[in-house]
Amino acid sequence: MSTAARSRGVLLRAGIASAVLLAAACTDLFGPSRTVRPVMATLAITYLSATSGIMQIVASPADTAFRLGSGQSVPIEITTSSGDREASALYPQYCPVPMRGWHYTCFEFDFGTRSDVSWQSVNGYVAGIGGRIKTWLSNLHIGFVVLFDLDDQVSRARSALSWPGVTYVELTPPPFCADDVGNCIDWSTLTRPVYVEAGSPHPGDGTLQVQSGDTVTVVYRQPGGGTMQAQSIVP
Amino acid sequence: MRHIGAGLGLLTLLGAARVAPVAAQVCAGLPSLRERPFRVTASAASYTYATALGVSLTAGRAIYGTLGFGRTRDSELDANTYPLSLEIGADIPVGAHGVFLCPVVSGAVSFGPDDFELMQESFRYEDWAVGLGLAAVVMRARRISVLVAGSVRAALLTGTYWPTGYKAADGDPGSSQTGNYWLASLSVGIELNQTVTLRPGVTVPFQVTYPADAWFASPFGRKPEEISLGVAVSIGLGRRSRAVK
Repeated sequence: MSTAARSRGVLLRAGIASAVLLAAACTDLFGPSRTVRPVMATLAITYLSATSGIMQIVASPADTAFRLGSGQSVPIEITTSSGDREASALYPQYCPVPMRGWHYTCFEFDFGTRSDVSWQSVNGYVAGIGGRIKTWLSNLHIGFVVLFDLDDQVSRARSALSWPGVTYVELTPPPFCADDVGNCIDWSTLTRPVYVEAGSPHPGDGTLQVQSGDTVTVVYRQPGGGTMQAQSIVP
Repeated sequence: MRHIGAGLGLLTLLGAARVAPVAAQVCAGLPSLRERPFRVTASAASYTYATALGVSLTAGRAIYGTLGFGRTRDSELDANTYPLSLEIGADIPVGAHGVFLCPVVSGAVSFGPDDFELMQESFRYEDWAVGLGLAAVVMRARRISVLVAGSVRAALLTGTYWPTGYKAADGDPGSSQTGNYWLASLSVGIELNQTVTLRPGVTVPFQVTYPADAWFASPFGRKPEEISLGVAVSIGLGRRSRAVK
Protein backbone atom coordinates (compact mmCIF):
# COMPACT_ATOMS: atom_id res chain seq x y z
CA MET A 1 0.00 0.00 0.00
CA SER A 2 1.40 3.42 -0.92
CA THR A 3 2.12 6.07 1.68
CA ALA A 4 -0.60 8.27 0.21
CA ALA A 5 -3.20 5.50 0.37
CA ARG A 6 -2.19 4.67 3.91
CA SER A 7 -2.48 8.34 4.87
CA ARG A 8 -5.95 8.54 3.31
CA GLY A 9 -7.04 5.48 5.25
CA VAL A 10 -5.76 6.81 8.52
CA LEU A 11 -7.31 10.21 7.82
CA LEU A 12 -10.64 8.51 7.10
CA ARG A 13 -10.48 6.66 10.42
CA ALA A 14 -9.61 9.88 12.22
CA GLY A 15 -12.56 11.56 10.51
CA ILE A 16 -14.89 8.80 11.64
CA ALA A 17 -13.48 9.05 15.15
CA SER A 18 -14.12 12.81 15.20
CA ALA A 19 -17.67 12.29 13.96
CA VAL A 20 -18.35 9.72 16.67
CA LEU A 21 -16.88 12.07 19.25
CA LEU A 22 -19.09 14.91 18.08
CA ALA A 23 -22.18 12.67 18.02
CA ALA A 24 -21.45 11.53 21.56
CA ALA A 25 -21.03 15.11 22.69
CA CYS A 26 -24.18 16.31 21.00
CA THR A 27 -26.60 13.80 22.49
CA ASP A 28 -27.89 16.65 24.65
CA LEU A 29 -29.33 18.18 21.47
CA PHE A 30 -31.67 15.23 21.05
CA GLY A 31 -32.87 14.79 24.58
CA PRO A 32 -34.26 14.86 27.10
CA SER A 33 -37.58 16.11 25.77
CA ARG A 34 -38.26 19.76 26.56
CA THR A 35 -41.96 19.09 27.17
CA VAL A 36 -43.10 16.62 29.82
CA ARG A 37 -46.50 15.63 31.18
CA PRO A 38 -46.50 14.30 34.73
CA VAL A 39 -49.70 13.05 36.33
CA MET A 40 -51.02 16.15 38.04
CA ALA A 41 -52.70 16.04 41.46
CA THR A 42 -53.75 19.68 41.77
CA LEU A 43 -54.09 22.68 39.49
CA ALA A 44 -55.14 26.12 40.71
CA ILE A 45 -55.28 29.77 39.76
CA THR A 46 -53.81 31.33 42.88
CA TYR A 47 -53.86 34.97 41.83
CA LEU A 48 -55.79 36.88 39.20
CA SER A 49 -55.85 40.64 38.94
CA ALA A 50 -56.50 42.68 35.85
CA THR A 51 -55.41 45.73 37.84
CA SER A 52 -51.92 44.46 38.53
CA GLY A 53 -51.94 42.55 35.24
CA ILE A 54 -50.96 39.20 36.71
CA MET A 55 -52.47 35.73 36.86
CA GLN A 56 -50.57 32.99 38.66
CA ILE A 57 -51.07 29.28 38.15
CA VAL A 58 -49.76 26.65 40.54
CA ALA A 59 -49.83 22.88 40.04
CA SER A 60 -48.63 19.88 42.00
CA PRO A 61 -47.67 16.60 40.35
CA ALA A 62 -48.96 13.45 42.03
CA ASP A 63 -45.39 12.26 42.45
CA THR A 64 -43.71 14.62 44.89
CA ALA A 65 -40.36 13.30 43.72
CA PHE A 66 -41.05 14.75 40.28
CA ARG A 67 -38.47 17.31 39.13
CA LEU A 68 -38.43 19.23 35.90
CA GLY A 69 -35.03 19.26 34.26
CA SER A 70 -33.31 22.39 33.09
CA GLY A 71 -35.15 23.77 30.05
CA GLN A 72 -38.13 21.46 30.48
CA SER A 73 -41.72 22.61 30.91
CA VAL A 74 -45.26 21.26 31.27
CA PRO A 75 -47.77 22.50 28.66
CA ILE A 76 -51.12 24.04 29.64
CA GLU A 77 -53.88 25.88 27.83
CA ILE A 78 -55.69 28.97 29.04
CA THR A 79 -59.07 30.20 27.81
CA THR A 80 -61.44 32.97 28.79
CA SER A 81 -65.20 33.08 28.45
CA SER A 82 -64.83 36.19 26.32
CA GLY A 83 -62.86 34.25 23.71
CA ASP A 84 -59.15 34.53 24.41
CA ARG A 85 -57.02 31.38 24.15
CA GLU A 86 -53.33 31.08 24.99
CA ALA A 87 -50.90 28.19 25.10
CA SER A 88 -48.56 28.38 28.05
CA ALA A 89 -46.33 26.15 30.14
CA LEU A 90 -45.53 25.47 33.76
CA TYR A 91 -42.04 25.67 35.23
CA PRO A 92 -40.61 24.87 38.64
CA GLN A 93 -41.69 27.14 41.44
CA TYR A 94 -38.18 27.17 42.87
CA CYS A 95 -34.92 27.82 41.08
CA PRO A 96 -32.25 26.97 40.13
CA VAL A 97 -32.89 23.54 38.71
CA PRO A 98 -31.16 21.42 39.79
CA MET A 99 -29.57 22.86 42.92
CA ARG A 100 -26.38 24.67 42.03
CA GLY A 101 -26.98 27.76 44.11
CA TRP A 102 -29.14 29.00 46.94
CA HIS A 103 -32.78 28.37 46.14
CA TYR A 104 -35.06 31.24 45.24
CA THR A 105 -38.57 31.63 43.88
CA CYS A 106 -38.67 31.41 40.11
CA PHE A 107 -40.21 34.40 38.30
CA GLU A 108 -39.99 36.68 41.35
CA PHE A 109 -37.74 39.14 43.12
CA ASP A 110 -38.24 41.91 45.62
CA PHE A 111 -36.56 45.19 46.34
CA GLY A 112 -36.47 47.87 49.00
CA THR A 113 -36.43 51.62 48.46
CA ARG A 114 -35.84 54.83 50.31
CA SER A 115 -38.90 56.17 52.09
CA ASP A 116 -39.43 58.91 49.50
CA VAL A 117 -39.85 56.43 46.63
CA SER A 118 -43.35 55.52 45.45
CA TRP A 119 -44.37 52.50 43.43
CA GLN A 120 -45.36 54.79 40.59
CA SER A 121 -41.80 56.05 40.28
CA VAL A 122 -40.38 52.54 39.79
CA ASN A 123 -43.27 51.07 37.84
CA GLY A 124 -41.76 52.10 34.52
CA TYR A 125 -38.47 50.43 35.39
CA VAL A 126 -40.28 47.23 36.33
CA ALA A 127 -42.14 47.27 33.02
CA GLY A 128 -38.84 47.94 31.27
CA ILE A 129 -37.47 44.55 32.33
CA GLY A 130 -40.71 42.79 31.41
CA GLY A 131 -42.14 42.57 34.90
CA ARG A 132 -45.01 43.89 36.93
CA ILE A 133 -45.34 44.88 40.55
CA LYS A 134 -47.48 42.31 42.31
CA THR A 135 -47.33 43.79 45.80
CA TRP A 136 -46.14 47.12 47.14
CA LEU A 137 -45.74 47.43 50.91
CA SER A 138 -45.90 51.20 51.24
CA ASN A 139 -45.14 51.22 54.96
CA LEU A 140 -42.00 49.13 54.50
CA HIS A 141 -41.06 50.50 51.07
CA ILE A 142 -40.73 47.02 49.62
CA GLY A 143 -41.93 45.94 46.20
CA PHE A 144 -42.51 42.39 44.97
CA VAL A 145 -42.03 41.92 41.24
CA VAL A 146 -43.28 39.15 38.99
CA LEU A 147 -41.48 38.30 35.75
CA PHE A 148 -43.23 36.34 33.04
CA ASP A 149 -40.37 34.21 31.80
CA LEU A 150 -37.24 32.74 33.31
CA ASP A 151 -34.77 34.19 30.83
CA ASP A 152 -32.07 36.13 32.64
CA GLN A 153 -34.17 36.37 35.80
CA VAL A 154 -31.11 36.98 37.97
CA SER A 155 -29.54 39.60 35.72
CA ARG A 156 -32.87 41.39 35.31
CA ALA A 157 -33.31 41.45 39.06
CA ARG A 158 -29.74 42.70 39.43
CA SER A 159 -30.52 45.59 37.10
CA ALA A 160 -32.96 46.88 39.72
CA LEU A 161 -29.96 47.92 41.81
CA SER A 162 -29.55 50.81 39.38
CA TRP A 163 -33.11 52.11 39.75
CA PRO A 164 -33.39 55.46 41.55
CA GLY A 165 -33.98 55.06 45.27
CA VAL A 166 -33.56 51.29 45.38
CA THR A 167 -31.57 50.23 48.43
CA TYR A 168 -31.44 46.46 47.95
CA VAL A 169 -32.66 43.70 45.68
CA GLU A 170 -33.09 40.05 46.48
CA LEU A 171 -34.31 36.96 44.72
CA THR A 172 -37.41 36.12 46.71
CA PRO A 173 -36.48 33.20 48.95
CA PRO A 174 -38.66 30.11 49.33
CA PRO A 175 -40.85 29.90 52.44
CA PHE A 176 -38.86 29.64 55.62
CA CYS A 177 -38.68 26.14 57.05
CA ALA A 178 -38.31 26.01 60.81
CA ASP A 179 -35.75 23.49 61.99
CA ASP A 180 -38.39 21.30 63.62
CA VAL A 181 -40.53 21.25 60.48
CA GLY A 182 -37.84 19.82 58.26
CA ASN A 183 -38.37 19.91 54.51
CA CYS A 184 -41.56 21.97 54.34
CA ILE A 185 -41.13 22.92 50.71
CA ASP A 186 -42.54 20.76 47.95
CA TRP A 187 -39.84 21.00 45.29
CA SER A 188 -42.07 19.34 42.73
CA THR A 189 -44.48 22.30 42.65
CA LEU A 190 -44.90 24.00 39.28
CA THR A 191 -45.98 27.52 38.52
CA ARG A 192 -46.45 30.10 35.81
CA PRO A 193 -47.30 33.78 35.93
CA VAL A 194 -49.28 35.04 32.92
CA TYR A 195 -49.64 38.56 31.57
CA VAL A 196 -53.20 39.81 31.97
CA GLU A 197 -54.73 42.97 30.58
CA ALA A 198 -58.23 44.35 30.25
CA GLY A 199 -59.51 44.32 26.72
CA SER A 200 -60.96 42.35 23.87
CA PRO A 201 -59.39 38.97 23.11
CA HIS A 202 -56.39 38.43 20.85
CA PRO A 203 -55.84 34.64 20.89
CA GLY A 204 -52.24 33.50 20.69
CA ASP A 205 -50.57 36.82 21.45
CA GLY A 206 -49.09 35.64 24.77
CA THR A 207 -51.20 38.04 26.83
CA LEU A 208 -54.50 37.09 28.38
CA GLN A 209 -57.10 39.74 27.58
CA VAL A 210 -59.93 39.67 30.09
CA GLN A 211 -63.05 41.58 31.01
CA SER A 212 -64.60 41.94 34.43
CA GLY A 213 -66.76 38.90 35.15
CA ASP A 214 -64.91 36.67 32.67
CA THR A 215 -64.32 33.07 33.62
CA VAL A 216 -60.69 32.08 33.11
CA THR A 217 -60.04 28.35 32.63
CA VAL A 218 -56.67 26.63 32.78
CA VAL A 219 -56.59 23.15 31.27
CA TYR A 220 -53.95 20.47 31.73
CA ARG A 221 -54.06 17.28 29.68
CA GLN A 222 -53.09 14.32 31.82
CA PRO A 223 -50.66 11.83 30.27
CA GLY A 224 -53.14 8.93 30.40
CA GLY A 225 -55.97 10.92 28.80
CA GLY A 226 -58.48 13.13 30.51
CA THR A 227 -58.00 16.67 31.62
CA MET A 228 -57.65 18.64 34.81
CA GLN A 229 -58.82 22.21 34.96
CA ALA A 230 -58.93 25.22 37.24
CA GLN A 231 -61.23 28.21 36.96
CA SER A 232 -61.42 31.70 38.36
CA ILE A 233 -63.64 34.71 37.74
CA VAL A 234 -62.07 38.05 36.93
CA PRO A 235 -63.02 40.52 39.68
CA MET B 1 -26.78 6.24 25.23
CA ARG B 2 -24.20 8.90 25.92
CA HIS B 3 -21.89 6.39 27.55
CA ILE B 4 -22.22 4.07 24.59
CA GLY B 5 -21.41 6.95 22.25
CA ALA B 6 -18.36 7.91 24.26
CA GLY B 7 -17.22 4.29 24.42
CA LEU B 8 -17.57 3.93 20.67
CA GLY B 9 -15.58 7.11 20.21
CA LEU B 10 -12.80 5.84 22.45
CA LEU B 11 -12.65 2.47 20.69
CA THR B 12 -12.62 4.12 17.30
CA LEU B 13 -9.85 6.45 18.31
CA LEU B 14 -7.76 3.68 19.79
CA GLY B 15 -8.25 1.72 16.60
CA ALA B 16 -7.05 4.67 14.61
CA ALA B 17 -3.85 5.11 16.61
CA ARG B 18 -0.66 4.70 14.65
CA VAL B 19 3.03 4.74 15.35
CA ALA B 20 4.82 8.04 14.86
CA PRO B 21 7.74 9.90 16.38
CA VAL B 22 6.67 12.85 18.49
CA ALA B 23 7.61 14.78 21.59
CA ALA B 24 5.82 16.56 24.42
CA GLN B 25 2.23 17.79 24.06
CA VAL B 26 0.79 14.75 22.32
CA CYS B 27 -0.79 14.03 25.65
CA ALA B 28 -2.56 17.36 25.44
CA GLY B 29 -3.78 16.55 21.96
CA LEU B 30 -1.36 19.10 20.56
CA PRO B 31 1.78 18.82 18.43
CA SER B 32 5.30 18.65 19.78
CA LEU B 33 6.95 21.65 21.37
CA ARG B 34 10.27 20.65 19.85
CA GLU B 35 9.42 22.44 16.64
CA ARG B 36 8.00 25.54 18.29
CA PRO B 37 8.95 26.20 21.90
CA PHE B 38 5.79 28.06 22.87
CA ARG B 39 2.14 27.50 22.21
CA VAL B 40 -0.78 29.84 22.70
CA THR B 41 -4.19 28.22 22.88
CA ALA B 42 -7.70 29.66 22.92
CA SER B 43 -10.45 27.32 24.01
CA ALA B 44 -14.21 27.19 24.41
CA ALA B 45 -16.45 24.59 25.98
CA SER B 46 -20.17 24.23 26.46
CA TYR B 47 -21.45 22.74 29.70
CA THR B 48 -25.02 22.00 30.73
CA TYR B 49 -25.30 25.19 32.77
CA ALA B 50 -22.36 27.29 31.63
CA THR B 51 -19.97 28.18 28.88
CA ALA B 52 -16.24 28.36 29.37
CA LEU B 53 -13.69 30.43 27.49
CA GLY B 54 -9.98 30.35 28.10
CA VAL B 55 -6.51 31.23 26.86
CA SER B 56 -3.29 29.53 27.83
CA LEU B 57 0.45 29.64 27.25
CA THR B 58 2.43 26.42 27.12
CA ALA B 59 6.19 25.97 27.25
CA GLY B 60 8.50 23.01 27.69
CA ARG B 61 9.84 19.92 25.99
CA ALA B 62 9.52 16.42 27.35
CA ILE B 63 7.87 18.03 30.36
CA TYR B 64 5.57 20.91 29.67
CA GLY B 65 3.79 23.52 31.72
CA THR B 66 0.63 25.37 30.78
CA LEU B 67 -0.55 28.56 32.42
CA GLY B 68 -4.16 29.34 31.69
CA PHE B 69 -6.79 31.94 32.43
CA GLY B 70 -10.44 31.90 31.55
CA ARG B 71 -14.02 32.70 32.30
CA THR B 72 -16.85 30.30 33.01
CA ARG B 73 -20.31 31.81 32.89
CA ASP B 74 -23.64 30.45 34.11
CA SER B 75 -25.98 32.85 32.34
CA GLU B 76 -29.12 31.66 34.15
CA LEU B 77 -27.57 32.66 37.46
CA ASP B 78 -25.75 35.67 35.98
CA ALA B 79 -22.59 34.28 37.56
CA ASN B 80 -19.00 34.29 36.34
CA THR B 81 -15.95 32.60 37.73
CA TYR B 82 -12.43 33.26 36.48
CA PRO B 83 -10.07 30.29 36.75
CA LEU B 84 -6.29 30.74 36.85
CA SER B 85 -4.67 27.38 36.27
CA LEU B 86 -1.28 25.70 36.04
CA GLU B 87 -0.84 22.27 34.54
CA ILE B 88 2.36 20.26 34.38
CA GLY B 89 2.54 17.12 32.31
CA ALA B 90 4.84 14.84 30.40
CA ASP B 91 4.75 12.57 27.38
CA ILE B 92 6.42 9.29 28.24
CA PRO B 93 6.95 6.93 25.28
CA VAL B 94 5.63 3.43 25.86
CA GLY B 95 7.61 0.95 23.78
CA ALA B 96 8.35 1.76 20.16
CA HIS B 97 4.78 2.01 18.96
CA GLY B 98 4.27 5.74 19.23
CA VAL B 99 1.99 5.45 22.20
CA PHE B 100 2.55 7.76 25.11
CA LEU B 101 1.74 7.58 28.76
CA CYS B 102 0.59 10.91 30.08
CA PRO B 103 0.95 11.77 33.75
CA VAL B 104 -0.36 15.20 34.64
CA VAL B 105 -0.88 17.33 37.72
CA SER B 106 -2.86 20.52 37.74
CA GLY B 107 -4.07 23.19 40.06
CA ALA B 108 -6.55 25.98 39.52
CA VAL B 109 -7.90 28.81 41.59
CA SER B 110 -11.17 30.29 40.33
CA PHE B 111 -12.24 33.73 41.47
CA GLY B 112 -15.94 34.49 41.62
CA PRO B 113 -18.81 34.62 41.25
CA ASP B 114 -19.21 37.80 43.26
CA ASP B 115 -22.53 38.91 44.71
CA PHE B 116 -23.80 35.49 43.72
CA GLU B 117 -27.60 35.45 43.33
CA LEU B 118 -27.68 38.98 44.82
CA MET B 119 -26.77 37.43 48.17
CA GLN B 120 -23.68 39.62 48.59
CA GLU B 121 -21.53 36.53 48.77
CA SER B 122 -18.33 35.91 46.86
CA PHE B 123 -16.94 32.53 45.94
CA ARG B 124 -13.54 31.04 45.31
CA TYR B 125 -12.75 27.55 44.11
CA GLU B 126 -9.52 25.60 44.44
CA ASP B 127 -9.26 22.60 42.20
CA TRP B 128 -6.35 20.15 42.38
CA ALA B 129 -6.06 17.17 40.11
CA VAL B 130 -3.74 14.33 39.25
CA GLY B 131 -4.27 12.18 36.23
CA LEU B 132 -3.01 9.67 33.77
CA GLY B 133 -3.70 9.29 30.10
CA LEU B 134 -2.75 7.72 26.82
CA ALA B 135 -2.00 9.51 23.58
CA ALA B 136 -0.84 8.73 20.07
CA VAL B 137 -0.29 10.29 16.69
CA VAL B 138 -2.77 8.98 14.20
CA MET B 139 -1.21 10.49 11.14
CA ARG B 140 1.74 12.63 10.27
CA ALA B 141 2.03 14.02 6.75
CA ARG B 142 3.74 17.07 5.34
CA ARG B 143 0.87 19.48 5.91
CA ILE B 144 -1.32 17.75 8.41
CA SER B 145 -0.93 15.75 11.60
CA VAL B 146 -3.68 14.12 13.60
CA LEU B 147 -3.24 13.26 17.28
CA VAL B 148 -5.54 11.67 19.80
CA ALA B 149 -5.34 11.86 23.58
CA GLY B 150 -7.45 10.57 26.41
CA SER B 151 -7.03 10.85 30.14
CA VAL B 152 -8.71 10.39 33.48
CA ARG B 153 -8.07 12.71 36.40
CA ALA B 154 -8.95 12.56 40.06
CA ALA B 155 -9.78 16.00 41.37
CA LEU B 156 -10.23 17.57 44.76
CA LEU B 157 -12.28 20.74 44.78
CA THR B 158 -12.72 23.18 47.63
CA GLY B 159 -15.38 25.86 47.38
CA THR B 160 -15.34 28.81 49.75
CA TYR B 161 -17.73 31.71 50.08
CA TRP B 162 -17.72 34.79 52.24
CA PRO B 163 -19.50 38.17 52.38
CA THR B 164 -18.70 40.29 49.34
CA GLY B 165 -16.27 43.04 50.27
CA TYR B 166 -14.98 41.12 53.27
CA LYS B 167 -11.48 42.03 54.41
CA ALA B 168 -9.18 39.47 55.97
CA ALA B 169 -8.60 41.74 58.95
CA ASP B 170 -12.26 41.38 59.86
CA GLY B 171 -11.78 37.75 60.84
CA ASP B 172 -12.69 34.63 58.93
CA PRO B 173 -16.42 34.47 58.18
CA GLY B 174 -15.92 32.21 55.18
CA SER B 175 -17.42 28.79 54.77
CA SER B 176 -15.55 26.05 52.94
CA GLN B 177 -16.50 22.60 51.76
CA THR B 178 -14.50 20.06 49.84
CA GLY B 179 -15.73 17.60 47.28
CA ASN B 180 -14.10 15.34 44.78
CA TYR B 181 -14.76 14.10 41.31
CA TRP B 182 -13.21 12.36 38.35
CA LEU B 183 -12.79 13.93 34.96
CA ALA B 184 -12.41 11.92 31.76
CA SER B 185 -11.32 13.64 28.57
CA LEU B 186 -10.84 12.66 24.98
CA SER B 187 -9.56 14.93 22.23
CA VAL B 188 -8.42 14.91 18.63
CA GLY B 189 -5.74 17.39 17.55
CA ILE B 190 -5.56 18.32 13.89
CA GLU B 191 -2.39 20.28 13.12
CA LEU B 192 -2.14 22.23 9.92
CA ASN B 193 1.17 23.30 8.42
CA GLN B 194 2.91 22.54 11.72
CA THR B 195 1.57 25.83 13.08
CA VAL B 196 -2.16 25.93 13.78
CA THR B 197 -3.92 23.13 15.59
CA LEU B 198 -7.65 22.59 15.91
CA ARG B 199 -8.51 20.33 18.83
CA PRO B 200 -12.14 19.25 19.37
CA GLY B 201 -12.73 17.10 22.40
CA VAL B 202 -15.11 16.00 25.09
CA THR B 203 -14.88 15.92 28.86
CA VAL B 204 -17.03 14.05 31.37
CA PRO B 205 -17.08 14.71 35.11
CA PHE B 206 -18.16 11.62 37.00
CA GLN B 207 -18.33 10.26 40.53
CA VAL B 208 -19.00 13.82 41.66
CA THR B 209 -19.35 13.71 45.44
CA TYR B 210 -19.65 16.53 47.94
CA PRO B 211 -21.15 17.05 51.40
CA ALA B 212 -24.94 17.41 51.61
CA ASP B 213 -26.16 20.83 50.43
CA ALA B 214 -22.57 21.89 49.65
CA TRP B 215 -23.34 22.32 45.96
CA PHE B 216 -20.49 24.87 45.75
CA ALA B 217 -18.01 22.02 46.29
CA SER B 218 -18.78 20.65 42.82
CA PRO B 219 -17.49 21.81 39.41
CA PHE B 220 -19.01 25.21 38.58
CA GLY B 221 -21.64 25.11 35.84
CA ARG B 222 -21.26 21.41 35.23
CA LYS B 223 -23.70 18.56 35.58
CA PRO B 224 -22.37 15.22 36.83
CA GLU B 225 -22.00 12.68 34.03
CA GLU B 226 -22.54 15.31 31.33
CA ILE B 227 -20.58 14.87 28.13
CA SER B 228 -19.58 18.34 27.08
CA LEU B 229 -17.99 19.42 23.86
CA GLY B 230 -15.03 21.74 23.75
CA VAL B 231 -12.83 23.08 21.02
CA ALA B 232 -9.42 24.69 21.13
CA VAL B 233 -7.34 26.52 18.57
CA SER B 234 -3.63 26.52 19.18
CA ILE B 235 -0.78 28.37 17.53
CA GLY B 236 2.87 27.40 17.86
CA LEU B 237 5.23 30.30 18.44
CA GLY B 238 8.95 30.85 18.52
CA ARG B 239 11.79 29.64 16.39
CA ARG B 240 11.62 26.31 14.62
CA SER B 241 14.23 23.84 15.79
CA ARG B 242 15.41 20.83 13.84
CA ALA B 243 12.58 18.45 13.05
CA VAL B 244 12.41 15.19 14.94
CA LYS B 245 13.25 12.17 12.88
